[in-house]
Amino acid sequence: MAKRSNYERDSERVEVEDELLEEEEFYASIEEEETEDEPSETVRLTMVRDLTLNIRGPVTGQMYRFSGSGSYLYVDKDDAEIMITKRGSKACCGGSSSPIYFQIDE
Amino acid sequence: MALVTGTPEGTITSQEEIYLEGAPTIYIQDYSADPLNAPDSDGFYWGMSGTATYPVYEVGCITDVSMTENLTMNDVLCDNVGVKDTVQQRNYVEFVFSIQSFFPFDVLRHLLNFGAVTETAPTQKFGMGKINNNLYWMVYAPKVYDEDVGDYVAIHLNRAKFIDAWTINMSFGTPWQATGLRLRGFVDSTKPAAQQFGMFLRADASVIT
Repeated sequence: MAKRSNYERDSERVEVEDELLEEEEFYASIEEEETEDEPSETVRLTMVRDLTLNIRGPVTGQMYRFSGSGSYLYVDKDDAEIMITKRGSKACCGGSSSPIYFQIDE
Repeated sequence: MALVTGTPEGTITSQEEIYLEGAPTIYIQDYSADPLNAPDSDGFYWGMSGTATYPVYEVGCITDVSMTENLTMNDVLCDNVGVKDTVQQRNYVEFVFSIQSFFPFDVLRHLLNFGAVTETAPTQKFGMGKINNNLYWMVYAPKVYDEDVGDYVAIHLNRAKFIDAWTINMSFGTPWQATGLRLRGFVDSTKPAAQQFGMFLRADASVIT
């Protein structure tokens, strides 16, 4: 096999370095996209009712399934806010209302 | 009130002129939970504290409430002189009542011994299947008898279960009623001998000082 010249070796090194650079840029762009797609902030909701609850997140449309009292899920913050308002408020003055479903875990 | 004549001599304890009226509120909680006081400074086990895992359920709109017990009694009968004594053993203590609240189903299903509830808007469903014989409840039934100062009595049963067949009456013009609900309190051998069925409490700061 013929011995390669210094020029050939240098140009090859430059090509490899360019490829590596492109690769880094590619992965960096993926990471950027993943960061953009990450779910928004979540909160932990614990079920306080003894039932299996299938509920669609009112904002994200995501399905959540709670399996009885004490079970918990990390729920999108926007979903949680509405879910708590609809199913988590106590009635005023001892009156009856729909029972509480969730508690927010701090 | 002392009689003019015929009053016994010596120390006499009269009963107070305070009368209890109406049914207590009945709360139940899974037997796996610890009582709120377990025990208190006097060694008594009573009270409840609901948690996410073991919520406390209030039995809604109860009526025809009574509390009773069952004993085994045998006379000591001497054939030459008659009954010289009666030997007794307590078998269980029991609440019997009817309810008129049917919602939510996740409470009702426990009272009627049905299956787990599944909720997917806009429905709630539970199955009518076999009875789970391994489900026991603590029972706490407080009754405030002086609203102004918060004096109350409370009954605590350690380990109870809904037993017997119920009936749901569906009459025209009257609310549905599930009658014949029996909440039977059994012996709880994990508690002290004097409290194996439960305990009775009175809180009255003006009398008990």
